[in-house]
Amino acid sequence: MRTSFMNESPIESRRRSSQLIIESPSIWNDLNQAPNLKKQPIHNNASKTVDAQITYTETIFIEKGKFLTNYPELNIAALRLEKLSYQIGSMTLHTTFALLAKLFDIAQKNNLWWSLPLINIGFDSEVIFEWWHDDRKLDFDISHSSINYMKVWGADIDNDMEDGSTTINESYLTSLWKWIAS
Amino acid sequence: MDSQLTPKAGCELEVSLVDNEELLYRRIFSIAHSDVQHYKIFSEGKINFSTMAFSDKSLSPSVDRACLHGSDAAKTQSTDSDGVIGLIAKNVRAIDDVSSDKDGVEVVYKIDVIHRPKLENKAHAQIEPSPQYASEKIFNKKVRQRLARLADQRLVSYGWEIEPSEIRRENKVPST
Repeated sequence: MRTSFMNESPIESRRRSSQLIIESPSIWNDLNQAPNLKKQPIHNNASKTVDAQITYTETIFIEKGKFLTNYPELNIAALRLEKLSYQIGSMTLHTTFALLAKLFDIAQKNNLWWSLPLINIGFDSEVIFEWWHDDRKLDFDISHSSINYMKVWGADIDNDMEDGSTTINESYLTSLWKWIAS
Repeated sequence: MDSQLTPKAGCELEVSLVDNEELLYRRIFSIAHSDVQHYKIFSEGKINFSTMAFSDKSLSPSVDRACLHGSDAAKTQSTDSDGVIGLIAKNVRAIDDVSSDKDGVEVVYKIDVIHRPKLENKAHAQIEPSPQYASEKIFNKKVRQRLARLADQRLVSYGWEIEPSEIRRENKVPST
């Protein structure tokens, strides 16, 4: 897959004001890790170039440059991501939406504790989510399509922390969310 | 001579060892005045520090030595809205369980607080490893988590040295 924005800098991304232009709808074939994805094609010409305003998920999405959500619980996260979006590459933003939507969905479906994460951007334009619940902490850092996580439950670096990588995988994310929610 | 006592080239500033009992100041951005959020405040008033509170491009977060600031934490603020949290040097140095595996050899890092005075800030010190981190991940994933936890613990026991402006506003008792 090759899109016009895969390797662009945050500055280039900002120029497009969060309105994503894709060259080929084939991007959607590569995004099958996020089952709630939908697209809203605006124009499709003979050369197969598509200008689309992308709606990433039904949970959190971009419409006319505004970051929106159908869930009041996510309003603040949507606003925060909108504020920071000039620093975030498009693919990172996509993965961020998909992850947040999936975790929220998991919490709702399983009737688990939910809280908004602290959201920051790292030096490499990665999105950082941090959740605290009692003595537990769960962090995600999202860069392009990669998601790394860190579970922390004490001060001992070797024995009280565990890190790894994941995808938008329901069962894996469910186990992570059950851990922080318990 | 201890490498810590060797001033950097061209620097005439006096360098001294950081005592284990010394209080260190770390600047914390006001949430209201920065894109970066250094902490999260929960509805019940509990506060947790983000790993972002200790992020540093050079992997050596800056702190100020309270004793060289005349115990005036305001000297660590960059703007009036900033908060300041304290750390004790020996607690930072107690981070002695960071290790990495390089080519099958385990490298254990000693985290230290080294006085690195600047012309504009003679109290400046840095939290540095020995040896240098084999990868950024060790600092970003592990050491920052530990420093954030130390700040959490310090806040519970001793509170802020200076509260960030939004907390000051929150705590301000309205005059009658």
